[in-house]
Amino acid sequence: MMKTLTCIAIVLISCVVPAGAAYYTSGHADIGLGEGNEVKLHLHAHSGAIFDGSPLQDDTEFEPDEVIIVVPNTTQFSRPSGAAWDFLGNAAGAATWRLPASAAAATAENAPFLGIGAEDVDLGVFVDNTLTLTLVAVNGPGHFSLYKVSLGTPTAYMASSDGITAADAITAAAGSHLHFNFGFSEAGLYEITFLAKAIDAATQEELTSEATYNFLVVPEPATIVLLMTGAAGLVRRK
Amino acid sequence: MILHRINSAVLAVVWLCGIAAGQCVQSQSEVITLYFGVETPPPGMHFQTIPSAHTDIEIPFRFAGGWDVHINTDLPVPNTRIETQNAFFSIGADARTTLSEIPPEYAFIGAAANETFWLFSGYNTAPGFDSQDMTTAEVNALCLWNPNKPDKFANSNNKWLQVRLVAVRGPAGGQVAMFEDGELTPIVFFATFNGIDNDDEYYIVVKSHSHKSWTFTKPGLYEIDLQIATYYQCDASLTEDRTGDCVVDLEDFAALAAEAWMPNDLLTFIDQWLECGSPFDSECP
Repeated sequence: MMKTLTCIAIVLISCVVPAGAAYYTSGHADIGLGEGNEVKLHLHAHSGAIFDGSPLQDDTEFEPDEVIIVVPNTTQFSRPSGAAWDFLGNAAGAATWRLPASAAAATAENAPFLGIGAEDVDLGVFVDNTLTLTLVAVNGPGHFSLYKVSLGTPTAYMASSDGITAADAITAAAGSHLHFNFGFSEAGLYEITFLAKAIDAATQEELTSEATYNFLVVPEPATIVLLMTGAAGLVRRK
Repeated sequence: MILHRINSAVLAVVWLCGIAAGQCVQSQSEVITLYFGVETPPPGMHFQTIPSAHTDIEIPFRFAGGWDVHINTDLPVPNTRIETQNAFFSIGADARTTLSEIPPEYAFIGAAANETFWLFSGYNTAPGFDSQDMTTAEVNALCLWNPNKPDKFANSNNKWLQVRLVAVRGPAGGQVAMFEDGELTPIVFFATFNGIDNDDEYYIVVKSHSHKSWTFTKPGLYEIDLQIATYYQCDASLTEDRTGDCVVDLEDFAALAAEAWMPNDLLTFIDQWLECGSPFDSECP
């Protein structure tokens, strides 16, 4: 029943997501910041990641708008109390969703294990071998955040709840990749725009790439039932 | 002749019921020692201090060569390989951490309130476990199994590798833990504060990669013994794999020669041996 309702939720929300995009539902993928000597946002999916219900046989690269990153309801948790968690943008105890920084949690919750990667970027190409990823815009029903938790204390690196500024950014070293929690304060479809930047070590030119990624946060089944009931009522009135 | 064929048929049935027919058997690595120095120099000249860069403990299962546990670090160049017995993880003063109050869910660290401990964070440069460097054939040979360990987030049918904490040799009173933070409670994989037992284990799905946080409660050298295990199955079509090691090789010929064999058996053996029927055969390209 739970699975059926979740499927219905995906179908309902699918009506508003970009047509033709692939649904990424589990396994490991990274928001790729570049490749070789290029700054270019993309999604680097590792073999075994599930796209449209099937595992990828090989590592595959997608354009950001070719993919819907699904945040399943299994990732829902109640927002902890304390001001340290205010960046999530909702009240203590409120339903919150997140793609986990933990591979173990992602596996257990059958959720995407999404990272941020610069593994395909050559060393020595950019100043300090560093690339920056900045949050540009969030278009969705709630707030987006990117954060880590250490010894029970969260640190937010990006959060739309207090406005989006240049401080909503992380850095990644060429050749490395990072994992954070991707937090969402409401269910629904989010279009999240990022800007990747690096300075060419040879020319000192700033290279940039901007792209929008789609995240589909699946609501809890009870909400789906309400949505369906409401929809049925509308149909009857007509 | 008829008796021999009956014997062969009986043997075939035994194989079908056994390893060659796809029964899952366990493979366990040797005990691997990792060396962590908390504000302590390496214990010998042959040690290479792991640079402050993305680093993984790679744990691929190679059938022909067993387990190929080693360190892979991204400096000075990506994919620099260091053998575990030469790798030294250096944890400096910048990892010192003190909490005025130890939340109950972090009691596993083994530190008291206001007592310094060292946090080697998985978010920074603490090594990850990596099971990605395996061929499709190697992955295909692994069995689906369920560790049934929800507290370790390993409670589904999957191709798991188990990493078990075997022993820790460290400074007097020094405790070690390996864990992941969560929003509400951490997931504890290893913790020596309550002794080392079957609960000190971590499971990673094949073809994946994950970093953990480590804590140490005293300065000094820690030698941490781990053992990796999984379940695999042989290719059922390798009928001449008489020793059940998933490879048709000269050991199988010896086993064949010791039996009352038929020319057809020998031809089949030669065929499977030369054909390199097993992708794990180290003698095959």
